[in-house]
Amino acid sequence: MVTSVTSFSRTGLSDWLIQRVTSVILLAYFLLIAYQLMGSVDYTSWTRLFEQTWMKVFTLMAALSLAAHSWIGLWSVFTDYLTERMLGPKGNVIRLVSQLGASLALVGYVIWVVVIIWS
Amino acid sequence: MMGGCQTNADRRSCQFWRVNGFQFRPTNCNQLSAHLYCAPLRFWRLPDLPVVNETNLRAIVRPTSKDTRPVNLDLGTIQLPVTAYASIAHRVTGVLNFFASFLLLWALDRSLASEASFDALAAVLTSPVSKLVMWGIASALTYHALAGVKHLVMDTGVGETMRGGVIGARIVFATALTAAVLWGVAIW
Repeated sequence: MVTSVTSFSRTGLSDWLIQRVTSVILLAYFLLIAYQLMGSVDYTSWTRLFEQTWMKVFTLMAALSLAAHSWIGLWSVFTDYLTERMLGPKGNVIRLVSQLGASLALVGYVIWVVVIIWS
Repeated sequence: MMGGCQTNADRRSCQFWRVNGFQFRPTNCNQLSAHLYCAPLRFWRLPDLPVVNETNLRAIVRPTSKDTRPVNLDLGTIQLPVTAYASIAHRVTGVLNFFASFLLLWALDRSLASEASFDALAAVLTSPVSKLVMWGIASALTYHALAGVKHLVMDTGVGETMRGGVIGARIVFATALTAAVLWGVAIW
């Protein structure tokens, strides 16, 4: 298969498991952020939250989860719609370029989070 | 269910017929534009258990390589059940969230960089356009999360039947719609 080489973990079963584990981490993270934003947020309390080690680790975990989760999700979408059957002869090229662009963006997201949290 | 028919014979007189638990209508709903007014109506009818007969056998039994008859895969002419719309919306909101992540990371960066950038961000987020974007991101994220929870529930074996899937998709749509309204109230 041409397409499995661009999948996140090479096999559907572990992609399936990773997608679920990362979804739970992301859900927990966004619930925490939503809970924080419900109350009145000022600069002091907001930075104090992100100065704590557990929050830095949790944010990094969420960023890594976002990258893996998006990779698997976008790969599923790309391999379904950006194909030769849907787009003609250029389909495979368009898919691989899209996959490369998405992957680079996700790596960029993770690096960006590291810079935000540890600077 | 009123108006339904089981066999090909009464196709002309019936309002719809059933294949594999889905309802198909003879004429009105066979165009892409019809999804707009046919789909919402169909969402509120629970599918009956599939009845296997000569008419729907082909849709129930997966075609093999020996089966060379043409297969219609034109989504514009196929009526989709609510579960399909839930799945498509899950994919669409997932792709949206990928792009929204950029804005969320930018906001996180601005909120933590300095007190001045925090205040500048807070000022930007009060504009009508920012509020609309925030509402869109929050609603898409909520829908995607709820549809994801439905997936986790279905992984445990709950709601895997056609009927269960329809009920699950409806719960997700209803909850996400309510959440979108609540996000609107909270933001404006």
